[in-house]
Amino acid sequence: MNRRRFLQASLAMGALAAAPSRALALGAAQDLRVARIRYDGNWNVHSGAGSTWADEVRMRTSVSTNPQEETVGLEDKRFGQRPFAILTGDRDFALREGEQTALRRWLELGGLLFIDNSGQSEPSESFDRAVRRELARLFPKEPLSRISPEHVLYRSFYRLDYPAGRAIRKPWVEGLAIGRRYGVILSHNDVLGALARDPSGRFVSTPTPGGESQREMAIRFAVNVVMYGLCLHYKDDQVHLDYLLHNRKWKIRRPE
Amino acid sequence: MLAIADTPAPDAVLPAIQPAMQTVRELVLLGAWSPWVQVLVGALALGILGLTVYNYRGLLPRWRRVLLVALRAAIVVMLLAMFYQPAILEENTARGRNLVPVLVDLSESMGLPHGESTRLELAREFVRDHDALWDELREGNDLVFHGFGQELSELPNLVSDGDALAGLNSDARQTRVMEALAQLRARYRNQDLGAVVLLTDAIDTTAASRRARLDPAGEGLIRELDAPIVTFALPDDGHLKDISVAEIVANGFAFVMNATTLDAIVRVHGYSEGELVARLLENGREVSRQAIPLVTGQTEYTVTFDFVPRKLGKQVYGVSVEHMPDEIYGQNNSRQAIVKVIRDKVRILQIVGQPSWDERFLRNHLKEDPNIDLISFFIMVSQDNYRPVSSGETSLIPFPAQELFEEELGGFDLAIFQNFNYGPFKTREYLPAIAQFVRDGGAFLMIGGPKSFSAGGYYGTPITDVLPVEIPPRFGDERREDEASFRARLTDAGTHHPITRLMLDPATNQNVWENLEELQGVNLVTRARADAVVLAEHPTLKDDQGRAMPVISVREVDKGRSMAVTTDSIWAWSFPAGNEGQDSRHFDTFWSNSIRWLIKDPEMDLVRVRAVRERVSVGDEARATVEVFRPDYQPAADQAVEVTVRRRDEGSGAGEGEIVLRVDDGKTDADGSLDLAIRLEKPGIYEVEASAAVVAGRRAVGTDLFVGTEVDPELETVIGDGRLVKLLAQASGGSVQSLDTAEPKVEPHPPRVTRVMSRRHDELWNAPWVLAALALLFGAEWWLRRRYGFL
Repeated sequence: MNRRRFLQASLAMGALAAAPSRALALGAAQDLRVARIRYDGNWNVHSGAGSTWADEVRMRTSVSTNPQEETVGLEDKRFGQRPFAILTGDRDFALREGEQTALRRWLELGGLLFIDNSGQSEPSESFDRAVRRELARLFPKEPLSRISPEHVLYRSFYRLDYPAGRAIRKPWVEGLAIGRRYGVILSHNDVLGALARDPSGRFVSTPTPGGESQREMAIRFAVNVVMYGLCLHYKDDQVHLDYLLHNRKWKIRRPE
Repeated sequence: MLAIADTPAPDAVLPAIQPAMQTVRELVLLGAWSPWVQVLVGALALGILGLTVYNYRGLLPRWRRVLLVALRAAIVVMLLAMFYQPAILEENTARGRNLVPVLVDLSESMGLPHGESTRLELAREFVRDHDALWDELREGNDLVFHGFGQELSELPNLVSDGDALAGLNSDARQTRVMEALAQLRARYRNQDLGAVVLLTDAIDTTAASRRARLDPAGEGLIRELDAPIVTFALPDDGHLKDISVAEIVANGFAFVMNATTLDAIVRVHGYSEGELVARLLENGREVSRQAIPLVTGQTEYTVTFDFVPRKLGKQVYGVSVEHMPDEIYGQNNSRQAIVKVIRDKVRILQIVGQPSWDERFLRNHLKEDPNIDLISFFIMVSQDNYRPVSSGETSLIPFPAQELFEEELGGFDLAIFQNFNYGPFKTREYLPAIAQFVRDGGAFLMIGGPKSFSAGGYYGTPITDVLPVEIPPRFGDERREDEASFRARLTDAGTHHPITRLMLDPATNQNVWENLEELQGVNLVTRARADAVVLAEHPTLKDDQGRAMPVISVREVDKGRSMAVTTDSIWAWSFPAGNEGQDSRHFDTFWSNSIRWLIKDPEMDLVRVRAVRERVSVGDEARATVEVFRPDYQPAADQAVEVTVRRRDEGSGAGEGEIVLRVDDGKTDADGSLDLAIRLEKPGIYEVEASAAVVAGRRAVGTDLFVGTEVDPELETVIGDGRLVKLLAQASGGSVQSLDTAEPKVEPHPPRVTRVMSRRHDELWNAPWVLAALALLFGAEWWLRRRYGFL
């Protein structure tokens, strides 16, 4: 693409602001809605943070969202209609057999599960152990592995170098691969903690050590997670890579 | 103990068999004890003998000890004999007569010269000169004679009927050995065969002759025949000379502009020096050549051609090897194969107005298909975004509208507008190009959503001219969508159309549609266009004419095709349905079908032509079938069809060449079919083109190719390698011998026992002398024990 065409295209992109309509899906089920999984344990940490998450996605992207966080049990019918869900906690838990079956099927059919370790000062070891145990039961041949900083998750919308949250305990997330995609993303940095608001709408915590700029990074990571769920490896397509490599001079590796 | 004596009535023996009587005597044991009882009794016998030896260990002189142990051993042996109940079995049996079929090869190749004579004459001499063999075979067997070529034929007894032998004709145009054996088995299904004798030149014209081993069906046939197959084949005749292209090994398809290979098996007999030149011809025009260096002793050469197909569609590739003046047969030096040249990948352009679950699952489906080359563009930000984003912080790239629609569009097979509003991207100026792309043969799919159809501002644009539906205008914030959930209802056309055929069985398919996961929300349309086909409709909403609102509809637009899906919730058939325990593959099947139809997969053509055989000999009748369907894919009965059969000139392409048959007033039958027969007078590449006005505004066309060849299938190979008859001999326990052998040998299976006339057991163990001997032994032992002081 030469300079003239780039300018034309940029103008086209700039014309978005003049576009007349607001994006609404044809039905409520088509909107992106953050579903929080209810389980036997401390599932409701940072209650309502999913609403902030959906709201930030709506404000920053073209994705049509429903800002109301939804609570679902793994065996609820509604869970099977939401391809994106979060599971938070800070202590041990165990899934029942029926819940395991439903979650395995949900993941295999294309669901994306974001698991957030909400431990306060440190990541909760008991929650971490429980997550690994339950995932090992679901997919014994697929271990959790560290997601490379080159992975499309870090550029599905924003360009990020690491996954921020309320804290930055580990500068990486782990993922469980199902086929060519990650079906589970495990965060150790309490992302929901950075998004949680009190009833008056103020954020309940101050991210450490970076303060509000770290919160912005946490929100950006949350947006990237949703965009990864919706677009998968779209940003690995040749046309994007060529542009980012040559026009923006990004130093990223091509996917294998 | 029972002695079985079975004396059947004489008339129970089949009169036609004329059995030979035989008496057989053999020793049998009637005591059918279980292994455990036998082990127990054996152990008991050994224990008794051991105790006997132990008890008499101090008895002197030694001969007394030996005598007592021997007496005890004799008693034990006699008791063991009574335990096993030995008997003499005497059977009077009747044995049937086996059949020995003699199969004489009457194919054209048997008429080829052999020395001063012909191959068939050599077979005649074999029959005449070996009376001893026939006499030997007649003992216990009945001889029958058959001819074979394409099929088995009846012959009189050639040994006794000299006129019949002299009158044999070799005129069969194929040699199918396995087929002849199968017919033989069927002909004599209830009779035992002693052996099968083949008199042949060992050339088989079927694929069986090229295989390294018998196929499972062939092995099964040999088991069923249950007789040695003895072949008397043409002796090696070193002076025969022939070059033939025996086989072309090629995939049935190749990718356009991609290098591919084609192998030719060339057989060379009688030439062992120098080199031959093989040429590869594409539609009669040479595209490559290879030298074949000849090696002494080698008769089969594999020639590999690398080439790049440059034209789409069926192409005829031929391999030709130079003809030598002294060859026995000159018409088998070339061979053709038809290769279907296809695109390597289907190129799809997917433009999405906003990321959504519908987009995500469709993209995933397209990406998973290795035959699809997908270029996607998602609009990821909109004017609703309150936080401006810096391009440096995001991975967003500008939408390259000009490049896509002005320069690259023609390279795609299918363009998908999924919930995409063109307005913000200054693409209105490109909409005419997209409409023209469809008219020129491209495919266009519009998928619904809040930014699609009327909501996308397409009313009055050139895009609406190519859509299957008419859409209403939209003013301001007026909603042209309905958000209610509904279950899409299959129309009559949808029950037959390949797009909506989620299951092969129509009743099962209907049931699947009635139970599909509910969809949510539709874009409202004015009506379906007159020439569109509505495949699925809304159960309650109506269009402006009071008919059900179209949900899935398709249309043929000049040379291209378009499809409209007025909802953004088809993904419900994948993820939610799967979680409900339904079959989530219906989603994939629906989209796969849709894409195949949109890109005009030949399997989904409305007019399909199929040549029954790819190669037809000159003088024979080529047959082709034309099938015509209506746009809803129901058979077009009584449909007018025009058919043109052309013989392509060398190097010419589709639609070119001499017209050899033209049918202007053809009509399909009730099944939508029309059968054609074309008598071939010249060799060449023949193109059958059929067209029917089943689509408004244009004629749907289908074509197929076949090759007219002067090569007689029977004479393609004139010097056999005997591979098949050797395999038959190996599998059946037979042999391969030469037709000019002086001492032919056939060892037929002996006839089976057909009936036991009488059976008698003479029991050896319960005779009075056995009891007397036992009493004597017991008495002698008792007397000696008393005398030696043991009692």
